[in-house]
Amino acid sequence: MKRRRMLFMRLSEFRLLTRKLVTTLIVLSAFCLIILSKADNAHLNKVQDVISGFLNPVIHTLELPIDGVRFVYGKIGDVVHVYQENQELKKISAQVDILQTKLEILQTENEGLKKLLHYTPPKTASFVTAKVIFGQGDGFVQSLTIYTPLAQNLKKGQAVLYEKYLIGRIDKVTGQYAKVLLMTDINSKIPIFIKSSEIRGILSGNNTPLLDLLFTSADAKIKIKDKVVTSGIGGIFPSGIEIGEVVSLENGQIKVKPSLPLEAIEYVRVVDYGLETENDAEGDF
Amino acid sequence: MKETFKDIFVSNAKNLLALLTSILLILIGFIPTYLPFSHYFRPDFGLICVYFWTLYRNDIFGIFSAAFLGLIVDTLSGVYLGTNMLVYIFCEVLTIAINRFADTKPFIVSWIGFSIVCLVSLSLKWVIFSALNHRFLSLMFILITYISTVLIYPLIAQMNMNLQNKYLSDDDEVIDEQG
Repeated sequence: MKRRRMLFMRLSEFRLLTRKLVTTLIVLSAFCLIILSKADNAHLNKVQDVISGFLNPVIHTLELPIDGVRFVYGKIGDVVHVYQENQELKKISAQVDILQTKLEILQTENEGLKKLLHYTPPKTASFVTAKVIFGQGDGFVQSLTIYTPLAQNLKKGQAVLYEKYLIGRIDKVTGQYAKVLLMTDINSKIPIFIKSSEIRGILSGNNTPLLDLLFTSADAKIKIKDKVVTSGIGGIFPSGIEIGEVVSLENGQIKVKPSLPLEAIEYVRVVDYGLETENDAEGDF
Repeated sequence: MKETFKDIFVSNAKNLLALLTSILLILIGFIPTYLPFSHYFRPDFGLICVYFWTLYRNDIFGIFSAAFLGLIVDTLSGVYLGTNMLVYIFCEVLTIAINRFADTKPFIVSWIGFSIVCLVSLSLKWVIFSALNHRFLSLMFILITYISTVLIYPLIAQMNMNLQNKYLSDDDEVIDEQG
């Protein structure tokens, strides 16, 4: 009798045991997934691509009503402000005429100087405009997903700009969609220099709206409102792309604020400067 | 009485409804609103759904559903696969543990229960992400996620209650604000 009790258990106990076993197995598989994902497993990346390939168009479709509302709201705003904008454009047009003349003089002078120096011009940059479909921005991750029918031209590591400002780089391309790692993400590290003093450093994201400026020399004379631009070191981004300005120097920590709020971005430009991207770099090794 | 194909289909579809609406909510959560600070003000809809359905209908929303939701969030966020999966499984296990206290109690009790489960789950997420990135993440913006998630819980819970009472309940399974 005693033996039978040991061998057989009640159905509820059996269910509880099965549940515990299943939970343990799933937790273990989650840990395995994390480890494999951290190791950049190719098979896992394919699985991720298949799921994203299915879900990205769904979100894209869900976003259409919001786009419609924004379009109507934008058109109403355009009509209301048309007179004021017209006046401002007239003023700008007058200034542009003056600048145009100066530019032509400088261009001629520049061409003459280049000939004297036997200067080799850099490759021309080409760009693709893409629409922001959705973004993940919280304390854990900072990324955007963009859509363009020309996504096959995008490569991992290419610079993503809004107007003239850098906002991040391409992290992954799946079909007609690409994931952008924002410069505010904790995994983002950008070589920069301070425009006024040419002090170099690394701009690191930390999943907050402000970026940390690291690896500057201890005696560097950095001031509030100093402009921060890419340095071009590393070869991923060219030098001189605007990022933001220094906003805080407290306790030896230098904080940089990006030039534009990330939630306002609707369209971005992915720029190919003809430099070596991360894909090319991986292929070399 | 013999079950027809339609009966089997409807029954299975009903069982999947909780999971499908949770996926839809997660996808909606990713859509940008372009409002000021909206980039940082993002409730974790996945946690709300895992907690709600595990608390009230763990017969149709089990650990596999929680894991699947986590996998979807991982893929869309572009984080290491398995991180949100682990957090949602933890949330599911924790919810079952507090089930006897929060189930069939007034709504406010389940809300308080959620605030505790959410706090512990987000803390776990913070630990995992900090460990994976080799540095501590800022707590400020995780606190914002926590507060926004807890504040939006009644709205999502009410939607889920309506769904449950309209499509998923037998007469004895109606959930109201009194639990």
